[in-house]
Amino acid sequence: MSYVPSVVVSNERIYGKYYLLTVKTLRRLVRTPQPPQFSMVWVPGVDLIPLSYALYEGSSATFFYKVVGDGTRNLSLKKPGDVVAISEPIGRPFTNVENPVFLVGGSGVASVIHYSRYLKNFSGMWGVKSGALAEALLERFPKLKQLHLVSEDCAVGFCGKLTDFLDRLRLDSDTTVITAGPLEMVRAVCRWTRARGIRGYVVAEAMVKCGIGACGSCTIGNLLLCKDGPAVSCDVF
Amino acid sequence: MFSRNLRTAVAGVVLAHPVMNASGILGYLPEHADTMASWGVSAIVSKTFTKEPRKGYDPPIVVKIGCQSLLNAVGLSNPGLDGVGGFVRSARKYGLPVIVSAGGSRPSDFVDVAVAAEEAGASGVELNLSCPHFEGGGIELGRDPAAVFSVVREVASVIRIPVLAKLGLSDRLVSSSSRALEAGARALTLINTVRAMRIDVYSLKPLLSNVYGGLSGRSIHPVAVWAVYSVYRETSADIVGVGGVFTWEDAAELVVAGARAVQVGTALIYRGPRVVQGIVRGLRSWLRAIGRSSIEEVVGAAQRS
Repeated sequence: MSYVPSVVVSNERIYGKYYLLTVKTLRRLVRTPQPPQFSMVWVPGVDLIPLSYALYEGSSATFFYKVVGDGTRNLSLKKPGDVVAISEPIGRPFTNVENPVFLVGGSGVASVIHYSRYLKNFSGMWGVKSGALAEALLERFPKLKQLHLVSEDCAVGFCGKLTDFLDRLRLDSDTTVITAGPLEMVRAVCRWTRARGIRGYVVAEAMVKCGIGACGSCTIGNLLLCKDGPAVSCDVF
Repeated sequence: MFSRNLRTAVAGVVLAHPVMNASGILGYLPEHADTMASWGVSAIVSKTFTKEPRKGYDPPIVVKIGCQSLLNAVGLSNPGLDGVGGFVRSARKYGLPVIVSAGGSRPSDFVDVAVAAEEAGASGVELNLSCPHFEGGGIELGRDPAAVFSVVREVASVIRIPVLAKLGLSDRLVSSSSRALEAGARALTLINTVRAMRIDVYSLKPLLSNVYGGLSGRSIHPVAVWAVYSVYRETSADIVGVGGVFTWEDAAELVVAGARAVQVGTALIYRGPRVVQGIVRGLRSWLRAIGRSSIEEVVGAAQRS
């Protein structure tokens, strides 16, 4: 994987452990990222972190991420002017889909932000633990208001977990569901789509180390997330 | 599908054509075998297995650099001995020879992997004596002819399937090669990646988490040609040539230097799996163009010119 040196423009804590990172690349990427592609963000001397794009415009790339370990914790400490590097976009675009229904949880909403640049219409649900996170992100990305909110603290939208409300959805058999988020949630969504004969895809997260299909660390079944994903059929889950 | 004139044999292992994969890309989980068989290689070579599982280094572990080359320090991540049987059995479904790459720090580590490989039905064992980023068991081992002799002899004395010694660039390559053959290696795989590093000049940090790693791809091809030529000249051994094979010309160059087969690694990343069939087709046309009927006829031909 080749890396493009980039300078941090902003790295804003949105809520709790959730951050919005914007970097300016010092060279243009060779390929424009398309949803739901991701890049490896290099924190020099510390870690390399696969992050889904929220936005990419000109030479500006924005990532929505959650602090989950040392790598993302170090990334969250980066200040404007600090140097990082991002890889060329990884994975296959999955854009030839009309009016998808997104069923996403937590930071899984990042790819929906990216999709919202390309799609006129979409719908679905976004489940969060805290309604405050949803409110903070909706303020910055109003297009996300097309999603129904579900919050575990009952502060916004429906009260409970996203999976509690799946049976309220009325979807045609030709609908395409795209899900992303915690593993338990995406597995439940996939069980639900399979049971109803609806096409389902997971924007999968797995340990990605090399990003070029060599190391095998992102093997899911017979697929490599970095080559065949990140959108993979629910049949794999 | 393959004409007879591409048939070759290395260490007694018969190959339908000379192009195998190089150890290091996938090759340690049973499901990887399905992908590797689809590449069209004539033998499936596993990733290096060690006795104990290894997590490998933290990322960045691979960096694409110029000249269609890669710099890697994966750190021999693998599931250890327990993974050998599953991978070999899965790969054998395809009716291709399966060669297990074995690594370690001590001779007994190599022996344990080699025995597991033989029990699972592997066709051969390639001893990785040359990883440039595996402290205590890599190139430091391979550049010591006495250590090479010791590891090869211990392995060759306990398994019946052929042993291939994979050696890397060092000032004692010919000497290590000779000692490996004396110890019972039936073939040599030349060469491994070449120790190298890159530094990011904005952050002022090395790009790889391990600081240095191994360089592969087109930039090392002439080095591999030299290594194969030099070792074949001294030993006339069965040699598998590896290093920057992207085209049939690259493969042919290694063959006329002295290789009976070649391995493709970095080209699979840059050009995709179809590169293998392209090389095979090109070799067939080349033989026709130079009026030769088989690969075996031209092995080491440059030594005689």
